[in-house]
Amino acid sequence: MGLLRYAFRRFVQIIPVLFGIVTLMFVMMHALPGDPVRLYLGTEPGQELADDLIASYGFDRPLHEQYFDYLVRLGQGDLGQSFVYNRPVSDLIWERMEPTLVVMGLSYLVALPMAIGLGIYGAARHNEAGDHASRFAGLAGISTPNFWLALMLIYVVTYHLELLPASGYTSPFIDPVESLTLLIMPVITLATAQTALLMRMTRSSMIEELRADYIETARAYGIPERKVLIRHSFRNALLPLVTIVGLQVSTLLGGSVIVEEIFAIPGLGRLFFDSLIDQDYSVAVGVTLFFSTLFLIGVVLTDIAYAYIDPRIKYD
Amino acid sequence: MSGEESRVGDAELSTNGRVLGTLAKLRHSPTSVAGLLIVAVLVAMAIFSAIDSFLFNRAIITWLHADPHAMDQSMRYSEPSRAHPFGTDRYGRDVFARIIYGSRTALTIGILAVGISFVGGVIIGAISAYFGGYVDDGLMRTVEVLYAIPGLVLAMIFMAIFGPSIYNLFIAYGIVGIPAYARVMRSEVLSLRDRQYVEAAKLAGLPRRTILFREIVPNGLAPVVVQATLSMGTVIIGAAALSFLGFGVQPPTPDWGRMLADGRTALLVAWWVALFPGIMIFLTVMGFNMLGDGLRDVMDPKTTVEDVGYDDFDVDAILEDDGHGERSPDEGDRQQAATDGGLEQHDADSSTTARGDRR
Repeated sequence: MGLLRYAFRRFVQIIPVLFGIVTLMFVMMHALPGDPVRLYLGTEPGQELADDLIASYGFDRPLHEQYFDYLVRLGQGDLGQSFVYNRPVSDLIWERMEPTLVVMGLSYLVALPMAIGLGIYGAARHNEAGDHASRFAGLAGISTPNFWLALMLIYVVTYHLELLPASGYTSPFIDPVESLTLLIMPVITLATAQTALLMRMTRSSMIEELRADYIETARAYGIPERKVLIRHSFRNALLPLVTIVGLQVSTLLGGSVIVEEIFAIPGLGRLFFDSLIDQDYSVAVGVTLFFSTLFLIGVVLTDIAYAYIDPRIKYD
Repeated sequence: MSGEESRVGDAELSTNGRVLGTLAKLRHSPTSVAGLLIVAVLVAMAIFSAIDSFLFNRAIITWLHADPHAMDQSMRYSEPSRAHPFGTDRYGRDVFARIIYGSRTALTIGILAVGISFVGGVIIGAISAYFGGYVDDGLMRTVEVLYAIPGLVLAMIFMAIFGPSIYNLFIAYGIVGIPAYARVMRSEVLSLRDRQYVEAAKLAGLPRRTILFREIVPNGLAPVVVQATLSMGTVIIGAAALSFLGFGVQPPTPDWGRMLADGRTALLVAWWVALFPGIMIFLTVMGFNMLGDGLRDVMDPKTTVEDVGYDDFDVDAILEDDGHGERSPDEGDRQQAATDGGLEQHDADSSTTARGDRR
């Protein structure tokens, strides 16, 4: 029961932060250069038409009224209208969500097991050659710019080996095989830095756990080292890892902008990128809000998982 | 703890002592020495290009190798050769010369952005922790708002509003970075503000601002410095990403991210235009990360002995320092802070790592 109430309270705490983001976005987007109405109508539109449009979107009203209006409509789940697509922003986000979530989910699916495996290996072989190698690989992984990695993958895998197509997206729910061939390179691009980062985390918290007294005790009892590593120390080392995984949602969402741009994936990152280029600012705000909400939910879920795993945490 | 009172007003001195001591310890870690070397070469390259471009109008680099701005249509996309070791780009410009000049752009953005985040984060974090209550709540909620928006997304919006230029680029990344520093500084100040020497300073009647920024903050700077070194790499990658996407540095300024964007369009015909700037970004970031890792191991008492593999050295150093009374005055405080504020410390650590690689 306590856990449920804790979860509820954590979710409620998201609301003021979201409110702050909405306010910040509103202020920033009204500072954006360019006139979306003019852009939408093309060059030299009739003045009357422009005025009509401006009035119909309420752009002629005082800012605080527009802000209040915006909040009310947000409360009803209305993110506004896209000028470029001439459709509701929420519809666009809904349509573009799948590719982003698929790429992100697969990246986690690849990164987590690899990171945990390598991290435990490094900790078990602490200060031996294998550990040094994995440490170096970890450093190299977090130092590699993902957009460069993507270009190099395309150059080698697509142009030279002619193994995989360079760009595009097919839903895995429609054609799983083709989808996979298209997803391999984007997922490698996103997962490399994640693997390295999570591996470093796993390794250092494992090393810390392995020096604890209870590990000595376990070893003294003659419990096999394998079991000591997995059953005893890893379960405790898992806690900091859970937090990081939640926080990393943000990195992956940012990375999706780059990856979707390079590999021409019609996801949210691409939508965001295009909306900034087109000055279609209600879309840019909508996607940013959606990203932040995803991130905050991720953080709260990991907090709850943390509270669930760790009996020492009290729910108040 | 007889030395407590004498510490009032000596904060700068003692931090200084620790910085030197830390640098001396770093030489025992091969990784950080290598990192330091890479960074030193980069700084040398950047200083060279700055002097060359401001004082000599690119005469030196032209004499030594090639002019990074000189276009030569007859040499478009020529392969790496003796004359052009890294090849030439779309306008026949020498990629090697542009890479050297690009180091100035990368380091300038890195240093200025990290500087803005550092100063902003330290001030916000320190005030937040020291005054607590509504001040803390207000500031931390604001920081959380910035933190909840993915770094790259926030930076792109900034650039869209203020226009793509190198100045806006480091301001954008400076602001994006503030939350991480504020959080680290806040948890440090929280663990330091009830120390005896702070009480002493209060009794001595020092104004609150002096107590906070001259007594407490200098003693809590170590983890923030580590954060700064580690985030140099992330800022450089992030800035290059923005330039790559067309939201950052504009031509003709030589910039690695921008060069990669050019390389992308010519990937099929001229791999060298994309390969070499990417390697430079990688090496630069690697250098800062290696240095930052080493700094963290040396400065953070929690990881010192465990993480690196110079266990013996550190134990000896601590014992020896104790015996001769030579150790820097706040070493003990750090040690204590780690045990006192175990959880706090841990929070700071994890958020550092997380945020450090967020972009």
